[in-house]
Amino acid sequence: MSDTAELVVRARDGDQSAFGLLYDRHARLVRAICYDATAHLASAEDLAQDVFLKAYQRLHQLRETDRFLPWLCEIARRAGHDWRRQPRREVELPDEWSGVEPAARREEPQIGELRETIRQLPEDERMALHLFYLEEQPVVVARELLGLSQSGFYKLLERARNHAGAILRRNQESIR
Amino acid sequence: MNAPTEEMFRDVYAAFDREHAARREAMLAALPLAAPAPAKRRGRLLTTFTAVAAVVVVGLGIAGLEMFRPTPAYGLDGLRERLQALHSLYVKGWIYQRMQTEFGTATVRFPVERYYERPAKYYTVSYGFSLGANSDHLNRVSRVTVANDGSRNLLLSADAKEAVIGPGGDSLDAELRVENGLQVDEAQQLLNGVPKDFERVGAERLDGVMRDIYESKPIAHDDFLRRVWVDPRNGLPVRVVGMHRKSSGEDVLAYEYTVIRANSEPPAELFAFHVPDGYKLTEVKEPAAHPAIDDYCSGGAGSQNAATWAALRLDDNAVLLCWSQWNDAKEQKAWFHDEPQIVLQAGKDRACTEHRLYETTSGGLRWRWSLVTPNDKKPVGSESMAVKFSDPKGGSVTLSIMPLAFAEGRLADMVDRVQRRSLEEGGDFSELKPLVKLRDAVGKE
Repeated sequence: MSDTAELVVRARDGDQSAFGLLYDRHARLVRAICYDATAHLASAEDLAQDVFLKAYQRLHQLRETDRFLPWLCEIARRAGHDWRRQPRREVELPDEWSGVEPAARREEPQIGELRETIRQLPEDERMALHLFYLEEQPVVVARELLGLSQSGFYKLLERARNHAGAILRRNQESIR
Repeated sequence: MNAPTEEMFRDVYAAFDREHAARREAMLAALPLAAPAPAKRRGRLLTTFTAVAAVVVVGLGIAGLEMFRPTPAYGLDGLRERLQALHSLYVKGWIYQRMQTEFGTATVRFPVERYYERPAKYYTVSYGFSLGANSDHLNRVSRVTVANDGSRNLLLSADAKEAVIGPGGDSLDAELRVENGLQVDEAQQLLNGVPKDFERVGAERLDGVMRDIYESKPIAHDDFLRRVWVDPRNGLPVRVVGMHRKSSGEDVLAYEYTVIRANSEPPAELFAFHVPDGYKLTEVKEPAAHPAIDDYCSGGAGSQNAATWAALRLDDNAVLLCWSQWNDAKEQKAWFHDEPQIVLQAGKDRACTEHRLYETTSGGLRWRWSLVTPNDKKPVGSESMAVKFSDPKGGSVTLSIMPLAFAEGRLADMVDRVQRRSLEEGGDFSELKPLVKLRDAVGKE
């Protein structure tokens, strides 16, 4: 039984600290997937919390405990999809007006631009970047989630970086 | 805009890390409201089986239910308590010293190895470093190895090339040495601080098992930090690194423990009592007839001197402390000349009151037994204790001692034995206070 599978089994038996460890390992990736849907950091963080609570409630439905991360990512994707479909009664304030001090507020503008650019990439390219920068074993996870070999993953990663660069250049040229 | 750099990508993703610890706490707090739904029972057969299983479980009783309790997965919480509950601990690694040479900066590493086994077996290697005026030249290194298995004791001084071998000696000294080693020294080396002072920074596969990595959070004016690899299956550290983080961002290794094993047999060579060739050997045939108290911690400033020997945590309310203080400004020592200020150190000092019990003489010093109780009436906890003396004419001394904790059955025995040791020289044990009476005395305060 893999280490992740062991934690899932323990969490399913009611061991919340085991679930806490799974949260530590994968919360950042889930937030990034949620941000792809919300384009708003605070909303993405709130949505990610909901994703983990849903995952905890539905742990008994996960038959292959080794497949926890792909299953979790699917929950996050569906949560993002549902979030986009919901009518918004409240106007979502931009981060800089919300009174919360998000990381984006202290960032260089180009960082926010790059983050937004990544959102516009095709899903597989986005995921390659998310996995590389947020997962401790991106190659292993890429095999699980994207079905890619090590070389395939790094090729996709390079394509994603180049594509992001091209979008940024195009946006800069259209401003001029 | 130029092509996005690696640094820019990392900055983008750093935003997904913000407030992680707080969000983790909030998520865990919400979990009891979102309990995992049990699997739906299908059919009468499964229901019947479950009912039979329930009867079997009840029939096994409380002990049986314990067997079915899930083993928790561990982070850093409770690590200090887990270390303190071990039967034995083996640690092996390196300590590092940097020095300037004509060719540049060199890092020299020295092997360390320690083993503690309750109640009274231990092996330690300790070093002394004599540094030059600017602390950048290593002038001299001394190394002392001690091995004691209860029946024999070997002391090796590597720089003096001397060895002393003799009977295992006094078991009380060995037991206190083992308890200080496990409860204080190793707990500090492996985890100095409390879990909230650490944050999870990643994971790494060691020996085929994924270990969570925790790092101590930076503290202002302190560049030292620890990184601990924890096995989530048993919550014990498997690797620890201590380092100084320079303002330039460079990490300078101070020590690393690469082998940490709990509750396992030590390497056979540790207790082979082998004396290396070329060492001058002294054999001690008989142990001391009346072993005296040997101070655990002592210090002096000007004419002010103080020492502590033992501190035992009686319960949440009090600590039993053995200490000495003397002023040698005049020809004859003035014992307990100055009142101590005793505090528990937990971030902010917690003032305590000293309740005198009695005094005794041992090993050329006058010792006082005292009960120490926190003024705020809150639990003693697992904090260290500082005993401070100030001389208005100048000179102040502060001694730190960590009260040792024992299981109830062993505590009563240790309370008796430590007092008995201090009274042995005088031969009068009438002042000895058993644990029950000490707790009664605290209750009446």
